Amino acid sequence: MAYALKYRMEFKDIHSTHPAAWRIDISERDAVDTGITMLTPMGSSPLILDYQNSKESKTSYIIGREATLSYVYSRLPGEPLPDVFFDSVDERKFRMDVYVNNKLEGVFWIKSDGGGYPYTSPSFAVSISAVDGFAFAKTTLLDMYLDGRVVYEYQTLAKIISDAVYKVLEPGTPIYIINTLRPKDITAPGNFWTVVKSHTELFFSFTEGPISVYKLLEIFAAQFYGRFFMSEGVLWFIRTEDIYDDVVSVYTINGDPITLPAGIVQSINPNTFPAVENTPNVNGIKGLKQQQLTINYRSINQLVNFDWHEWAPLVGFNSWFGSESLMRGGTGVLEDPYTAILPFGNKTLTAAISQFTVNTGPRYFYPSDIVEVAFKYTYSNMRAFDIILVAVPTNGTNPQHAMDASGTWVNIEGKLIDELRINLVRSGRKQQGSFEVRSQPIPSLVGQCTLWFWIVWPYERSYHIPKQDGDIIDVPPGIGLEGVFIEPVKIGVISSQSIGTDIKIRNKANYSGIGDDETINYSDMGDTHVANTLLLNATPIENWESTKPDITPYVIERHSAQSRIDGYAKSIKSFEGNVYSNTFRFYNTLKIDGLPGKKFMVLRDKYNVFTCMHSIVVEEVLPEQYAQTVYTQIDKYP
Amino acid sequence: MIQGRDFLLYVNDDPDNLIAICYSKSCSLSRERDTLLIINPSSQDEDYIPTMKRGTISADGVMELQETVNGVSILEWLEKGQKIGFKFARKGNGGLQISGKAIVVNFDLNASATDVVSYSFTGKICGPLTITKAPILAVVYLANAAGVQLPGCPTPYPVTLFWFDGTLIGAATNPDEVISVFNTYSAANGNWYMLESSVDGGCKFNMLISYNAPMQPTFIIAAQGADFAISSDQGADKAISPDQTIDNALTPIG
Repeated sequence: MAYALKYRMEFKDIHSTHPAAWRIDISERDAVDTGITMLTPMGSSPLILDYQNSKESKTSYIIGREATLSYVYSRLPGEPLPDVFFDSVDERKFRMDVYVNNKLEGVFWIKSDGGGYPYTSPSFAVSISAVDGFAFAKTTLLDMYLDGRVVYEYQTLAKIISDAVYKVLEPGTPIYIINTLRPKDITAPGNFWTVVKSHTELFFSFTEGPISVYKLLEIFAAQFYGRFFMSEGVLWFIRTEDIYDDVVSVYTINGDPITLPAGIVQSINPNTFPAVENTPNVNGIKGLKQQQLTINYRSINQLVNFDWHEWAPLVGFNSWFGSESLMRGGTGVLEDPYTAILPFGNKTLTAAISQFTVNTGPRYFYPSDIVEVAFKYTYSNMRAFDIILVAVPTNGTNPQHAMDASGTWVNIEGKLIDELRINLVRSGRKQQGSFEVRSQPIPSLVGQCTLWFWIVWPYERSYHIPKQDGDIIDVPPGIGLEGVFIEPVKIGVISSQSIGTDIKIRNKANYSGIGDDETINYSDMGDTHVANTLLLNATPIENWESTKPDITPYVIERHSAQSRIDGYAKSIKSFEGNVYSNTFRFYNTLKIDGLPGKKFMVLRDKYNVFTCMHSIVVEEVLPEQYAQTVYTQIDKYP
Repeated sequence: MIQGRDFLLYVNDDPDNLIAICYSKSCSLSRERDTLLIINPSSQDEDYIPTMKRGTISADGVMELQETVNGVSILEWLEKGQKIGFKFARKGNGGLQISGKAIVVNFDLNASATDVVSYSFTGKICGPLTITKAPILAVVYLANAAGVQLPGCPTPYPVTLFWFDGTLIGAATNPDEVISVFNTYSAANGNWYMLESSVDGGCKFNMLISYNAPMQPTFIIAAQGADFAISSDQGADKAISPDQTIDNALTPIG
């Protein structure tokens, strides 16, 4: 997408000792380059930069920023009518780049619903609102498809995060990280983000599709107890437990060290960085006594060719036995995934079309493992089809068990295969459906086993909805078949009898605050069947330590829990007021004259660029593992 | 001190050609600055940061339509929303000048039955105020203490030069010597006046007067020939004098 620079505003702020020169460039997508029109800044607030942090606590993980630009419209030639911005086609049409002293401060996108102008004759002030990429993060989904395949694999954290953020931010935006946690015994110097891997199963649901960029960033922010925000044209991720130190190391996500010329700590004082105007308030916030975190296990799909990408006519789907005559629908992209097409045939029960196979040969599973099945399907004039899932003991003598629709394992001795069918029935002509079941733990009677999975062709008259008006409901386009279209199928196994874990952490000190329950995703329990495990060099990570001295290594979920208590380990202070600066940034750690020994992190910053006034709320931070805690974990059962 | 009537307001819509408002009864300038209060928990003395500044100009005048810039021109500027140039300065050139741009925001016209038509206006200052302290260029001539030009002009030389308070400062035989003798003394005594050049090779000189000089001279005190002799010799045996009669001698001993 090409952007042409159309409008520009320049002004200097009125800082009494070191004024800064600001420049705002507005570029329009797919526009012809016809030169730049200068905009006249409006009075006392031509630009306001406001971090949208409505929750205003340490658990606000992703903080977007809004820019409000005000210019004077005098109906001079070339000046943009306010409607130019307000009637725009979409919210990526106009890009606003803000520079301070020729250095990029932020990239924003002009919204059509923000700002306004008075209904009067010119000259008047027009104000337009623009937001940074995070505004799009909640509605931008990850694209899980590449070259017709679902991207289903272990990827480095650096790749996962970069790919996701570059869908909403300008690709190539630098990513700076402050985080002292490291997997134990890591050999790679500097940052671990390029070597630790996570499975992409966490970011994709076989029934609901991929998650949004926002949710993905939340996963990492909640796990490390840190925050994502943009400042100075850079995406920052700062772990809250690492803010307390005077000297911090900043790295890019690829491990390159970054030196900040001005350092990260700023001190509010009457001489160089004063509080101004209204007297600020110092408020107290109570300490936390306990916090609960939940981890839900996500099994990794054990099927090969589960996304139907390996197929040839008359050969069928690779690894799915009996599929030689099946056709494939779809084009292998997120909006139109490949589907296996099971035609309606007036046949008796026929051979099963698939067996459950994995890429390393027969897989063994064990009693108390939990099996998860999930897939979506679409009917074309059909009412039902069947699936069968059987656990087959490897010793040949133990009884086989089949899963029923509620997830219970039933001994199949003496039963016909017909009786093992799970019917997926829909009433009426409802076209799309999904199946998602988590089984009970495999019974001990089974012993070591393999799993077999059949999808049965819809063949019974009662499964068929007669055509009306002679037409087949044509789904997907171009394939006029009656039958069932199966989207990618997941069969995963959790190698423990629990489906998750509840973590309770309690502060030994006597406070009364209770933190909001949260869900986190990663756990160092070492199970490679679930996506909740982070890998280093293909082995599950055992423990995480910090580069700071005297920090006890823990499993990552315990660090997550400890961080939340450390955030409010005792009653802390918050400071709310106005400060005067044109060098203060959201990533700064603050000290405050008159509140000695305390460090503060920024929660709110509304910055009037011209007057150099910041309206801020900052909250005290404490050292890592300041709180003495009691940590317990309880398994969750289906 | 400057007399009020000698300090005028010049305005025009062409900022390079400012014209004094004649028939003006008074003119004034006002300027103010906002401040931001610094909060200091360890001090009870308030301290401030300077922020925005603004100001107004205003003048009263009598309506005289023959003038280039008159009440009507000012009213027209208000109607057009015209940004005009202004300066407060003395009559003539140079001196202290306070200048800038303004928009006329108020205009009052008064026509009373028993008086002439008068008007007053106020302008809001737009943009920065420029304060210039330029020297005044004047032409001065050699004269006696009463200001009467020396009778020998344009060739009065040799002459003896005196400062404005009567102090003898030296002798000169040509215009260049006048300039160097005068400037040397002036530099050591306030440095407000500086002769630039001779106008006619005779008695007239171009002088630069500093904007804050105590007065604006129109002549330099001088005496033709030498009514006196100058000697550094204690015994006063020897004297240098153009005067044949050597009636008077000036020695360091006195």
